[in-house]
Amino acid sequence: MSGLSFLHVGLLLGALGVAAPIIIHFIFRRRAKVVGFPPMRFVLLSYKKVARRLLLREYLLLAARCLMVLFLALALAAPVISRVSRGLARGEKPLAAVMIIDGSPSMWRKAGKASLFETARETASDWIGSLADGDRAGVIDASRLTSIGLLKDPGDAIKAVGELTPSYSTARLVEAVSLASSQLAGAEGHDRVVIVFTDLQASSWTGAWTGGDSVPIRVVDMSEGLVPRNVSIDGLEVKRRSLAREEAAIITAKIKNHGEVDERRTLVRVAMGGQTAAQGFVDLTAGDEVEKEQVITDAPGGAGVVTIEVDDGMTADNSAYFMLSGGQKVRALLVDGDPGTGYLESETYFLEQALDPRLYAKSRVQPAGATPAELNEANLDDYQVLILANVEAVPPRTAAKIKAFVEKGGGLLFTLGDRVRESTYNEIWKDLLPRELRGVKLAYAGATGADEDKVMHLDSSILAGSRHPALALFSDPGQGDLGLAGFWKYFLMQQEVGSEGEVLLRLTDGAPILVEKKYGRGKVMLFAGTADRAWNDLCVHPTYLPLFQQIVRYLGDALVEEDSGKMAAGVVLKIPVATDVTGARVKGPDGAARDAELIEDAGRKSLRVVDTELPGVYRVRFARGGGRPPASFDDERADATIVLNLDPAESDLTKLGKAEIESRVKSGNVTVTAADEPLEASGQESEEKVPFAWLFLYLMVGALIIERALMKS
Amino acid sequence: MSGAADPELLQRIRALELKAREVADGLLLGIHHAPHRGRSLEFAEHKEYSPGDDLRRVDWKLFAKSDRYYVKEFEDDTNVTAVMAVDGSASMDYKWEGPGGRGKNGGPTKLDLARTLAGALSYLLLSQSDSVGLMTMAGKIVDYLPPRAKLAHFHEITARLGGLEPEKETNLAACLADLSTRLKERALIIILSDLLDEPEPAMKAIRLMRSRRHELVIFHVLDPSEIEFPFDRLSQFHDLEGPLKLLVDPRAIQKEYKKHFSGFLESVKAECAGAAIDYTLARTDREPASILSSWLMTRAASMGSRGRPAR
Repeated sequence: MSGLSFLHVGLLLGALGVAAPIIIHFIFRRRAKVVGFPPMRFVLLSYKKVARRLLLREYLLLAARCLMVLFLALALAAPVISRVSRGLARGEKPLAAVMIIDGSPSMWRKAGKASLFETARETASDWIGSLADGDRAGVIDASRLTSIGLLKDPGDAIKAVGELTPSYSTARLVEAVSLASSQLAGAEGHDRVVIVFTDLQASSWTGAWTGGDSVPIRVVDMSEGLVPRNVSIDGLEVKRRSLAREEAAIITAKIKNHGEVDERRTLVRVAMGGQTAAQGFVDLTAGDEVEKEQVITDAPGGAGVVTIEVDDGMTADNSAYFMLSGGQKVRALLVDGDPGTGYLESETYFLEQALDPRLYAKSRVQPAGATPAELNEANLDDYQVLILANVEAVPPRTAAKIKAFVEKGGGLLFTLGDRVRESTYNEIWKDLLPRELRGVKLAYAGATGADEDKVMHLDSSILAGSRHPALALFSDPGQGDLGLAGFWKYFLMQQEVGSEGEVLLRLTDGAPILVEKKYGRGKVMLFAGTADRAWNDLCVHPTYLPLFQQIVRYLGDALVEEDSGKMAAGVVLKIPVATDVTGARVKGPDGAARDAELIEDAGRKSLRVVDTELPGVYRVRFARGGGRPPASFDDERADATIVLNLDPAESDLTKLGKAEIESRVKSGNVTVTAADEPLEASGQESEEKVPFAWLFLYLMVGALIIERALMKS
Repeated sequence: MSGAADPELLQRIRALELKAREVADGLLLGIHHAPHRGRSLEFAEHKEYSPGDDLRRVDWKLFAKSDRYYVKEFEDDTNVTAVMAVDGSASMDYKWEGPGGRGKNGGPTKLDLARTLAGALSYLLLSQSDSVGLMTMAGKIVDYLPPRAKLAHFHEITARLGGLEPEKETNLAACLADLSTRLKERALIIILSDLLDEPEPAMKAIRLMRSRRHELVIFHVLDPSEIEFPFDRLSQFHDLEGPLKLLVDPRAIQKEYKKHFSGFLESVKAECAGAAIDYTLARTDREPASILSSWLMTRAASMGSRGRPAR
């Protein structure tokens, strides 16, 4: 509250002196010298030419002189601006006050030139500055829940307030109030108060009440009178879809107008690798939510961001990050265990065609053929995936080589056939096989591919619930129906009880047909049928190509995966890791790499990443075998990538009422005030008088300069 | 103020007469050349004798040489009819009394200067046996004294000049037209006026008189303040001959005024030069003798340039 007053009101009568220049003006006119002058014709002519300019100058002169008198009178009356101090109301005891400041993204909104957060910080500093000797003050950052405790020196508390920064995380005001109450419990002999500077956003009043004494809580509404305006990206869906000859990424952003203002022609832009990949406009009426789909063809792997360009003052939720990983080329070695006499009889013919179709120019798989004999000499380091197609047996040295290959992260796929003997396989590949083989089964006696009624089919229903990356593609019905393929002969496997292998596909009789097992850092898959037409007709169905493309790319860690940032920034990340991981560093969106905490619980290791406040892409690099992770690393060399986005709840500007706040903080003593109100109207108020006679003196000098200039002109 | 018995008027007339004579005495004789041969000391040419010629003018020395009779002819300065046309309007009764001016008592009004110049010129002309008349004018001819060649006529002229009282209005054109009807022969018309009347009709009347072969001389009588507009404080200017009043800061319009007034002077000079009218600017801050002396020298030079010896 402020007002204008004068220390010497009587001198304001001097303002009547404004009339003096006017009177003098007219007196001068009356007292003008009378001159009889013959050539009046020329006087009149000259006067007409300059009359308008003269008149204007005359009025300006008169105005300047009047203002000079007025300003002088005002300056002599000693004007002062009185400000009612918004200091803390106090009783007889010293005061202990804890300031809780909400720094969540909704507090970044501007009211005038300063943001709500900046005004809150300034007001809190002012109030702490008004504390008396013996008072104590504390400051709590409501987003990070950091506290300085109760300090006796107000200077330290003001410094702590000055060091507070806005946060991307949602404020946890309930927890903060609870913490403040606990701190104030130790302030014996003090009047106690908790002051919360917030915009009353409902999502900020979260967190668990952890107890604390019941103290008066003053909630200062920093957004009083501010018209809610916010457009946000509330969600992001990133999908891969195979188009005719290439893969596309489809980015679907849920955009919501949380404000009370209609937003027209809002630009939505998708950027990858710093380049705009797609963009479009949306119209959003107040409260409206739309889904904006953007298609990126031939999308490269890497991080991307969807941004809406709208000047709503709340920038944090105008961007949402996503990640498209994988996509690199996979080199696969196909070992043909039954080459036959013609290429159509080759065990790997269909597989090779599927992995590198001639018309499919953009295949990410590079297959190479080999015989079992050539396998013995092959350097497996040149490949990411090894496919043993109906290979009868391999020498122990080769088997050891293959195990080492998988342990180091390679992918291995077994397809079976007539040459495979379950006893041999179970012995040679004891550790590698996802499940032990139990012998060949015929679907029905005498069944053949031509007899459709007497074959088994893949159980499509298993796909609906499958979240396996290699099969996720088939959750889209447009990608074809795996269930159409017929299986009349296949290997049976060991019962599931106690088995390590995960069944990915089954036949309609329940027999597992595709099983996976992790081995070391690699993966092994077992397809219980043949890769050619000998035991099934899968290879002549359209689904054969995408199925084996996906399987091989999955085994080669080149399957495109999406991360659309479902996790909110600010959460504590827990990332499961392999047992040989001994350390990790996490590189955040700001480019700074920090060590992550490695936790071991019941033989399972995981990483705990706490510093996740910034939304964006976090990259993790593991250290294995007792080594230390590198101090810094390139994005491409990251072992894991996580995308965090702002919590969508933060975008909702719905305000909470007093009763709801009271119920959440378990207190009946909550007062909600506007930011420009004194903290407590009934409390003691100090009035500060700021003189500003100098302003009128400056104005008077200005008027004098103008008057002189006019006179000279 | 009028009336022959008015002692102030008599004093003014006497002072004017003395001033006029004083001015005239200091000047060279002769204002014009006679249009015909007469008797004087200055030889003009020989003429063959014819019966009736004065035998005293026969050049006997030439007869001795040539055995033929010739008589001598001389140029004579006489027999010019001149009229002093003095502007007696209220605008002529003006002198600036402010700082820098010649004050209430020190300087003459424009009418005073016109009177002095007219008196001095009358004396000069009468002294060389020319006829001199007087016309005072305002809205119409106020007073007209026909031309006479007797020196005693000078007293009448100065008396009339001294008694001239300024009148409210001016109509120079009408007065000159009226004068034109009264003059039966060619005359030298000397106009002494501030020419602040409507310029177009006045100049038209002047050109008309010139076309009737009258010789015109204009003494443009002006106060220096009318030319330089030296006023420096808020003043209410009013017209001496009309109701116009104007409150104005003179410093604000001085530049424009001087521009307009110098334009007016230039246009009058140009008109006079175009009509072969003798124009002289007579400022009241100059001595009358100086004004007349300059005029006479200029006039003598211009006569000389026309093939006559300058005096």
